[in-house]
Amino acid sequence: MIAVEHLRMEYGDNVAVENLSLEVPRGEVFGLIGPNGAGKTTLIRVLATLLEPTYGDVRIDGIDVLAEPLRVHPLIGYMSDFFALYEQMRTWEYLDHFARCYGIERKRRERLIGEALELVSLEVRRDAVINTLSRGMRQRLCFAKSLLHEPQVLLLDEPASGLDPAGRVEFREMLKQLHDMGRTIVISSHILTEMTGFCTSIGILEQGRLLAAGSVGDILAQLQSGMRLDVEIVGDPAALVGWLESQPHVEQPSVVRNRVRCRWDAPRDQLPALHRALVAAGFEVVSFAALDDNLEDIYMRISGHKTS
Amino acid sequence: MSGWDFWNNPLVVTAMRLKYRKGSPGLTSSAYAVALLGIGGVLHYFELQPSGLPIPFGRAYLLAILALQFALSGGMALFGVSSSITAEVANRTLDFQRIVSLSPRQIMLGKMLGEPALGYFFALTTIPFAVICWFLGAAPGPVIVLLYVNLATFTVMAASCGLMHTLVVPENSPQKNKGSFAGLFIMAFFMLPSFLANSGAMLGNPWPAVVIGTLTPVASLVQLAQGNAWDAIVPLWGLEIPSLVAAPIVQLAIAAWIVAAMSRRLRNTLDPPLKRSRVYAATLAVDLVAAGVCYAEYLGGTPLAEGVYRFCLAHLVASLMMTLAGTPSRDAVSSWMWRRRGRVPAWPERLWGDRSPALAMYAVQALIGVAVFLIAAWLPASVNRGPLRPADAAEILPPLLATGAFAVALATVFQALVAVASKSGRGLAVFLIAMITILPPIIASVVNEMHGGRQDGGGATDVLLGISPAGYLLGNISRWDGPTISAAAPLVTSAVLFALAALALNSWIVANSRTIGGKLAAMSVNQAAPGKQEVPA
Repeated sequence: MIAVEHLRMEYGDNVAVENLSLEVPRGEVFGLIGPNGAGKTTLIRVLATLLEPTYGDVRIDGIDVLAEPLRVHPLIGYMSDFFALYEQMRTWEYLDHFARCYGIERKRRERLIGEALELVSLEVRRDAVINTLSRGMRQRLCFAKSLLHEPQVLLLDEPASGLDPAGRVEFREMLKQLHDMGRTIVISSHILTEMTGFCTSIGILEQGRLLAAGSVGDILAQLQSGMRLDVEIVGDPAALVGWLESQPHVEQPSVVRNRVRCRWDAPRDQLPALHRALVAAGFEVVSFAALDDNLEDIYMRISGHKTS
Repeated sequence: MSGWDFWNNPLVVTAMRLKYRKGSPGLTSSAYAVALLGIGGVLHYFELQPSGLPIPFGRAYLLAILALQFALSGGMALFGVSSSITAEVANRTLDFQRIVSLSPRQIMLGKMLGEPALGYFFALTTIPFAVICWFLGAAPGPVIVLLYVNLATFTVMAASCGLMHTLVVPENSPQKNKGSFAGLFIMAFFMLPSFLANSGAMLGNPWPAVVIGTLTPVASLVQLAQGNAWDAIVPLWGLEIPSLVAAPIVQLAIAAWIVAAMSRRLRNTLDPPLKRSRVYAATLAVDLVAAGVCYAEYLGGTPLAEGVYRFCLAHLVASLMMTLAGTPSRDAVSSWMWRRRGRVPAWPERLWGDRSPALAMYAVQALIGVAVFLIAAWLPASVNRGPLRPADAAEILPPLLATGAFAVALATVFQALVAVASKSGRGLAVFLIAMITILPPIIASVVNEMHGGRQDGGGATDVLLGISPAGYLLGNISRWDGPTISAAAPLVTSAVLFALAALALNSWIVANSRTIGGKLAAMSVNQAAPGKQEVPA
């Protein structure tokens, strides 16, 4: 659905995106992860036809966004982290304005506005003037605007920034619904917990470079990360660290808050043997847990934590 | 929605909806109608005084209504559209507007037509009063109708001027924009009275008459005050086109031209506002009008060899304005080097492309100037009064060549500095061109004073005047009866400026080409693109 090849974006001497190539299949929820200044916003603005890249080809549904931006516009819904609205309009007027701008016929317009307001739970504020809405409501209205013309691709740049915890959960549910409806979603965030659970694939950006991209499982496989072990014993954890360093398939043992963490790069079914050896070595085990890597772990392992 | 279906344009619908709710135009228009009645009352009071009114009451009332309405409609359109665009850019709502299904042209037209909504209600309010004035014999019906057509086109033109705004989120605070508008307003406040006071005398000269008569309603209103609005004319090739007819056409053309330029900017802010084809068309249009006025003066007894300097001045001003609007920025030239260079044959790209250095465009503009004067002024003069003498040719060709050389040299300086030094280069180039234009004549006048104020030309004074385009052209216009300033100094100055600027530009292109080549190689991108490969400059 989205194909990016050799993308480069320079602002003067600053390289925001460097030689980035990427493919996002139809129906994916693609999470762009990276620190502030990694190039996430630039990439999304290029996809949204708002920025011309210095070099590279960008296609959405096979259409060149540089050559035919007007053909791309009906396909995309865009929401930026800076969701400015027309303050003097009423909620429904704002949506009506954009529905007209997308050339939606009157009857369909009325139905879609109703549906969009319902989806973002703003139907009771239908006639409210926008400058009376709270930040969360404004954000939801902006999101409703992005969905109005039923775009195939949603480009969401830090969409949940500034939402309260309940708002974030609600927002995540909305995204899941849209994913179930088959929409392709590109969502950026530097808050990894926001992305956990619903991104089907991710791309890790740092200093304008794509360090890794693909499904979470694929990236884990690429990293050959296996899993993490978390062990709690009675007594000095440093002794356990010393013992683990001598064991095969165990990497990077360290003490974290009186527990020992390490990586395990052998198959899962070999773990009971390690457990037995641990007990046989005389350690009094309180807990022995195998943890799968989450987005945060993947990001921390891949990233050098640099901004451009 | 078709491109011409203005009133279903979503931006117009929304603007009308908001203005109607916010400003309650019915109430505001009623208040305006009362104010118009008050003006009528005041004029009637003065009519009843012993000194009376200098012109009949009906005509005075019509002039007062129209003058007020022109100022109101124009001001509301200009500031309404401008502040709307400023807010859209600063609040970044323009980003959402840019990615809808409307074309950039529809967006710009919507802004231009929707924002002055209140001005339309005010204009409609004046119509019954204008009808009363017509009953009172203020002016013939067709004149009043054409003045209202003029009001509509003037409002559209003013609104289109409001569109001219950066579409990139400014680094400065929006307050600076307000400051510049305030400056404009203060300037207009001080300049307008003297302009109006001198308008009668200015309208007697065909050059200001063309500018005032086509861009403003002042000529028609001044002549209406003197008895007959049809006397306001635009003299071209011996035709006396009424300003009432010419102004709407020119104003609509300017509005269309600005909408096209800003639509292009909205589509891609990297592209210069004007396509090269539009630069050529606009230069051609201004040159044709200038040649038409020149020929009209010739028919009135002014020698063509004198008129050519005025034509050259008009051409130079138009060329430099087109240079500002058609020269690609540093980012645009860089983009051409990254993406487009080598993908299309070099010469078509240089003549018609958007982002290659615009040196070929400047040369074409200069050629247009020479060709238009020869075809549209010299040729009809030869047909009318027999072939011109070789002596005339010797007088006419040097200023045409010198002006063309000046235009190309100054534009190349502009392109070089914009490319090499980016935004600061733009300011530096404008400063440098202003200095080249202003400084030599000032020094020349000092030198002249030191030599006892002789106005006979020659020597250092003429060389100094010849270095400046303004000095060369205005100097020759002002001392037409005496010895003219030779074209040698302008040609030498232009050659030196061009050589230096072209060298700087070329060095920058070569260095940048190398850098980009290195970056492309690092990206493992095959630089060879389809089509003829252009050799780096």
